[in-house]
Amino acid sequence: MPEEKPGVLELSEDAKDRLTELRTVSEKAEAGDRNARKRLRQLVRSSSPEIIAAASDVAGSAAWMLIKTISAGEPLMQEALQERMHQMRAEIGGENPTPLEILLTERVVAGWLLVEVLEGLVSAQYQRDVTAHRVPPGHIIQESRILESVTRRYMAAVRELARVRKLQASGPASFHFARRVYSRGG
Amino acid sequence: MGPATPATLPPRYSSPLCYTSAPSPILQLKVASAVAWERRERGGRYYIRSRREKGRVVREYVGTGPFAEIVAATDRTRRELEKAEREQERDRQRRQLERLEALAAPVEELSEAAEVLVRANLVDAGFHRRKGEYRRARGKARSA
Repeated sequence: MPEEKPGVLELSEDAKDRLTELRTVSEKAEAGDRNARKRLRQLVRSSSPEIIAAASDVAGSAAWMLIKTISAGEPLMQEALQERMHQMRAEIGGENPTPLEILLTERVVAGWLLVEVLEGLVSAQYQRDVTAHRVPPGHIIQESRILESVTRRYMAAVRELARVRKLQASGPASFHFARRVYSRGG
Repeated sequence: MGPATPATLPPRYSSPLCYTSAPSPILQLKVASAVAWERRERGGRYYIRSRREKGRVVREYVGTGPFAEIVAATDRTRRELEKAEREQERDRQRRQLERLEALAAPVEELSEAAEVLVRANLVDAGFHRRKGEYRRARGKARSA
C-alpha cells in the first residue's frame, strides 16, 4: 500500500455551513413551517449549485486517491481504472442528466471504487506469508466494520439515485428541479 | 515491619514465583513464560526457565554462575525483541485501520452532502417523507 498521505479531500467550511443550514431548514419545512419553505426555496437556488460543484470536486479527488491506491503507481492500471470510471459515469448518468443526478452518479461511482479498494486491501491481509504474525480477530472485526459501512453507503447511493429518477419521472414537469434550478449554470 | 521478601519468608514460600497455584489463565500464561532465578537453601542462585507443554507448566533447570547469567541475558533480549515485534505489528495494524478510514472519509462526506441536497430539493419540490419514502404532499404541487 502506498504510504502517500491523501491531499485535502474535504468540503470547504462555507459549503459545510450551507449544508447544515439546508438540513435545518429542510427539517423545518417538512414539519410544515411556511417561512422555512420559502427560505428553503431561496437556499436551494442560491446554495445548491455551489455545493454540488464542491461535492463533485471532493468526489473527483477521492476517486483519484482511490485509483492511486489500488493501482499502486502503475500508469497502465491508473489509465484503465480512469477509463472504467468514465464509462460507469456515462452509463449510470445516462443521457442529459440533471446536476443532482450527476452528483448522485459521482457518489455511486466513488462508492463502488471504494468498496473495490477496501475489499482488495482487506483480503490482502489474509494472503500474507504464513510465517508472519496472525492478524488478531479484533483487527479483522474493525476492518470488516469499515467495509460493511462503506458497502451500506454504496447500496444507499444506488437506491437514492433510483429514487430521485423515479420521483422525477412520476412528478409533474416542474419537478425536474435540478435541471430547472441549475440550468443557469449551463 | 516491611514487606515480606523471599529471604524472610518461611522455606515453603522461599520461591519468588509460585508455579503451581496460578489462579487465572492470564496469570498462568504469565507464569508459563516467566523466567526466574531461584535461591536454594544450600546457597547459590539458579536460573530456571518455565514453559507450557500440553497445558502443564514445565520448569527447566538451566544452571548457575556466569553461564546462567549469559543465558538469562539472552532470554531477556529475546523477550524484548518479541515484545518490540508485537508492538510493531500492533502499530502496523493501527496504521492500516487509519488508512482505511482515511480512504472512506471523503466518500462519506460526499454521501452526506448528496443526501442533504436530495432532501432539500425534494422538500422544495413539494415532497415529504413518510415512513422513509418521499411522497408528494396532497394539494401542494406547485408550478415552476
